Amino acid sequence: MKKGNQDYGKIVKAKNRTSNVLIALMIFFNTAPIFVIVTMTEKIIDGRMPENGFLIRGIIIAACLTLKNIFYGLSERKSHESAYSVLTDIRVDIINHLKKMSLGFFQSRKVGELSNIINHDVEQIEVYLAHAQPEMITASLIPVICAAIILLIDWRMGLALISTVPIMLILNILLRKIWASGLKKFAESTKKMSEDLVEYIATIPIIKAFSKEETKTRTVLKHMRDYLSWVKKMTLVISFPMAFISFILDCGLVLMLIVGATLLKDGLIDFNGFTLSIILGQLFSESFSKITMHHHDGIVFNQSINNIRSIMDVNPVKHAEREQIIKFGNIRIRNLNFSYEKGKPTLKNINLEFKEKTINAIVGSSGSGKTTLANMMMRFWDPDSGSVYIGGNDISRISEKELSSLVSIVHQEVFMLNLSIEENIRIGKQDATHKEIVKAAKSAGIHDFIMSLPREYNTIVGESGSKLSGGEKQRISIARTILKNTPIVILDEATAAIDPNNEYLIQQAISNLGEDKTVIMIAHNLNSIKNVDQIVVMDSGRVSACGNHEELMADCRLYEKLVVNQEKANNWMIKEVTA
Amino acid sequence: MINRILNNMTFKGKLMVFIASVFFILYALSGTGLMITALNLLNKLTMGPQFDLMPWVWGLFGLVLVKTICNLIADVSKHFAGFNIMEKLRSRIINCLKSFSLGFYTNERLGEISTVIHKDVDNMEKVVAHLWPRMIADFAVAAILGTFLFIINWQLGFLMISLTPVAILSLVFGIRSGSRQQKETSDRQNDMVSLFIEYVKGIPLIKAFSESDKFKKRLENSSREFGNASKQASKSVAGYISRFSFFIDMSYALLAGFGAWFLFKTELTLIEYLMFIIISKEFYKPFLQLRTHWMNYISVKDSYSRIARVLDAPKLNSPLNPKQINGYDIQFDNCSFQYSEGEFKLQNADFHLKNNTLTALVGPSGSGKTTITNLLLRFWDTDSGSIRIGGTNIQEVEYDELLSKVSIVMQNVILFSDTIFNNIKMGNRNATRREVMDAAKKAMIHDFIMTLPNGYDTILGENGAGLSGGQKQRLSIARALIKDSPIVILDEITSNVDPVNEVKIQSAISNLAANRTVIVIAHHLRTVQNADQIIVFDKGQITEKGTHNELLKKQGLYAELWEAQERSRTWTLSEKIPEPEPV
Repeated sequence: MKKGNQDYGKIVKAKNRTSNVLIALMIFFNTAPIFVIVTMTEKIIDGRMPENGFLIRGIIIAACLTLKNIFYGLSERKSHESAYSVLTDIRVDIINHLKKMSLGFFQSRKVGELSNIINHDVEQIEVYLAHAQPEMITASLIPVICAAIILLIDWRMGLALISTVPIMLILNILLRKIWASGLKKFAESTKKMSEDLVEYIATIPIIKAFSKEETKTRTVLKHMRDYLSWVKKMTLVISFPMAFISFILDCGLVLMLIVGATLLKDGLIDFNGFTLSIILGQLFSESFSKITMHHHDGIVFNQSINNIRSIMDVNPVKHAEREQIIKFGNIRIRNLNFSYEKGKPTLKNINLEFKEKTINAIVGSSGSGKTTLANMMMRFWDPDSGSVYIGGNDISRISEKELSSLVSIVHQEVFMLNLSIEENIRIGKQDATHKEIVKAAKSAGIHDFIMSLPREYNTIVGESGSKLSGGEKQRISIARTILKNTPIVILDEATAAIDPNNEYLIQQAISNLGEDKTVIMIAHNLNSIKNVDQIVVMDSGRVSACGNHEELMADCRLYEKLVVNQEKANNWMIKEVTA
Repeated sequence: MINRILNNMTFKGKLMVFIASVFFILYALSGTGLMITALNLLNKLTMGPQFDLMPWVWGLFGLVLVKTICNLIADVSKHFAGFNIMEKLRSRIINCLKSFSLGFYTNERLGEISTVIHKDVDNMEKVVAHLWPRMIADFAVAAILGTFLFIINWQLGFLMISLTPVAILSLVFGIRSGSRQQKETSDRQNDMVSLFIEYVKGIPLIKAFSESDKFKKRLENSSREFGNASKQASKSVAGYISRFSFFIDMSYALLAGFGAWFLFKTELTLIEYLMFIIISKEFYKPFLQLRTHWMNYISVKDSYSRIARVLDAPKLNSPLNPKQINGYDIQFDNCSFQYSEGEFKLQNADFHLKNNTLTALVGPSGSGKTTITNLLLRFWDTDSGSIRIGGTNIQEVEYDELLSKVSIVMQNVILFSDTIFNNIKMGNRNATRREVMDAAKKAMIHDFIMTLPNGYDTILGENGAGLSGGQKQRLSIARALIKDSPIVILDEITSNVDPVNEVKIQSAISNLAANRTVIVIAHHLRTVQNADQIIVFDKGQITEKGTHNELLKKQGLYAELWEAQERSRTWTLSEKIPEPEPV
């Protein structure tokens, strides 16, 4: 299956060709006995039927129906087989495509949502391919065949039968236009109702905590009742016209019967023809009504395809393939602009330099862009304009592997694989020896804790590291980074505050991490950065000032304000001391 | 089970299902009537003499009209039945949701409930209101037509159903042997989904650290295995449904062949033969749908059992003689609690908190601090011992009454996508605009609100999207201030906030804590230095109690933790911290 911006809809529909042929054969052998029966009946009435003819005809009928069922079984098998092949191919495509996405992509999409797409939306394709589409084809083919045969029997009867179809189609189109706004409102109301319910459930702990005062329950129930009474009205509005349309369809059948009766009376058609027409006419109108039932399936299918495309249509990050040996040097950011959403700039005109082997801190209020700036250096996203240079090389021009060998980042969120602690640390360096891992763990201040566990380094961490505390996970993350040993380390200092009782251990680990490297730390506690080489103060996406602590205390009001407040915060006690 | 399901509709709803079924029957019968009339017409035409066609025309159109009206009534009824069951089920779930203890609402459960109230209720509506009336009608019509045909000619009637028992047996056998494969398939599916979630969560990690393809290959293989299991399962289904259809069709073939023979022997009239040919198809209809009906029944059973799990979950019952709370000192009398076998155990927690004092709970993570506050809020009830507020046992008080006396301020703030005004007003439904603004001022959030274009009438995004963590916290404090409850439980940790914001939050907390009975889960010991009482937990037991100075003198766990935290206060990056002196 080809990758890229393919029209999945078309590919998916094309795979069904074989089973469509089988379905056609099945319909043929299902319809054939009708002819045998009708011709046999006529012969009997006319007295031209030989006694031994029954056995042969019986066998022919049985044979046709046997073949019908064989093709039925085969078509079911084939359509499901090709459906599941398609599903598997699409899933593998999605898996491969995801690997090429930028890190920023994963920040903006929820895990649950992506999982829903690869599981549920892809499954909808099977529902469509193996169920809805074959049934649609059957339901469309049969009326066409029936109408064709009746037209052949007598063009007047055929015409009478299908005379009402155009009226039906026109009415259908007209009605959909008239209802378009109503239907849209219906879809919106249903969505709002469901969002209402989702919010109610998500917020129930608070609703319960304020149980005596809350009015949300009453409101949600009222909204639901209002919605339902509106929907009831809509149902009536839709049902009456739809009933009228099916009445029109059936009138076509009656017209055909009347025309046929007249023709038969006048001897213009024979008994055979009329009987056949009755049987086929009934098949015609029955199948026709099934077509509308599947309209909804098409909508669901298209929605699922769109969801899948929301992943597959995202362009992968372009990486250089050639390795470039970078003479490591300073980090320079030039004229960088970036916004998550159009019109809302997150980073504005950033110009900064981080000299080799210095210790740098980025400070600023929440939402000032500190984390985004740090993430740009790891190429989470590509800037809208401007670039990040390492040792004179634009990072968007070097390979993923090369960049990752230069920069490590320690985030607050630590992801753990459900494996042993040793394996989790080994992620930093695939071929690390046990000795190297222990050394890294010691520097990260986690070795003693690991040795206190019954299985020591072989302890399994549980799903998402559920058996470890936040502080312990942090130190493992630091151990990984120590092991990886890149010349540039970016870290989010809030990591330390996770575990106040072991904070100093993490601080020590951070100090060990930063030896002989370029460190960029997003600092929250301004106390901890008084001695660093460079502090960058950010404010609303811009660099407000940069320098060392003394310079900034003298020149930068914002920095001074932050430092003064930090002092206050550090000395706060919940209970005000009464004089 | 079916009884229980049907009890989720009002009388009106059940009536709708009944009406829908009846009119679907009439609809099908008028369709058959149409065919029989056509055949009679055919008969009359072959008899010879001319006759007036008009009454036949009126008759046919009349039948079509009846057919349409029956379908309309049935369609509308079934939709109304659907609305009825949906409303009843959803309101039952919503009303029962409020009757649980706070401990019930874990993230997992809330996710489950969300699925139940949407998917499962939708499924119930679809099957019970839309599919069952048709199914009932199909079987009733089959019975009516079957009897009708039997009366015409019992031998043919017999042939018509001759192989049906064999068909059903082969279907049952097929479904039984297929169920193992179904289970296999759904296991593979679960494997794939959980591997996928791990994959997506881990991609940033894998990209940042190494180039290994191992994980990706594992996930790909899992997807292929799932695909193969699905193919196998569907292969066996295709087998048994076509076998089933084969037996039914063979009955039909026998019917057609012998019927023709009887016609030849004039034991059967032409019309009777044609009726058999055409109407037998109607008779077979519900049988051909048998597997679908069975699958629907299973899915409804599953959905309903999930719904029942929520509705039947243990609730906190009202005490027989509910008492009032008349004082706000808190007493834990020798309380022990264990969540489940082999899990963390709280043992012999015994302490007294005086009215209007600040008590701090400290200790390493997982030592029992949160369990204490959860027990006070009756997330669970103690295994032994009791908890009293103002001398009254909390189990003897109406749960909602208990909760109205306690404000909870935690790190995880829940807000509504409603106006800021309404969010704060949650604390007191009769609050005036003035009171809300006063609370916001005390919570140090008023100034921020006034910078917004719509001020207090600004509508928040989902769960307060658009606000920073610090702003959300202050809103939740404003909400607690308006509630004005005598007891406050708070979790002290503030993370990821810049110093300016942090100072504001701290002032807000101090305002909230003034003149109330406060329990703080303290992480940073410096913030609770002058608490009236500090209780130290370790591994589920209280090891020390007292004021800050008393505890320092004891040189126990508290002193140890204090020293560790003091060390981190003075750290600065770019200095190597010397190894701690051995004590």
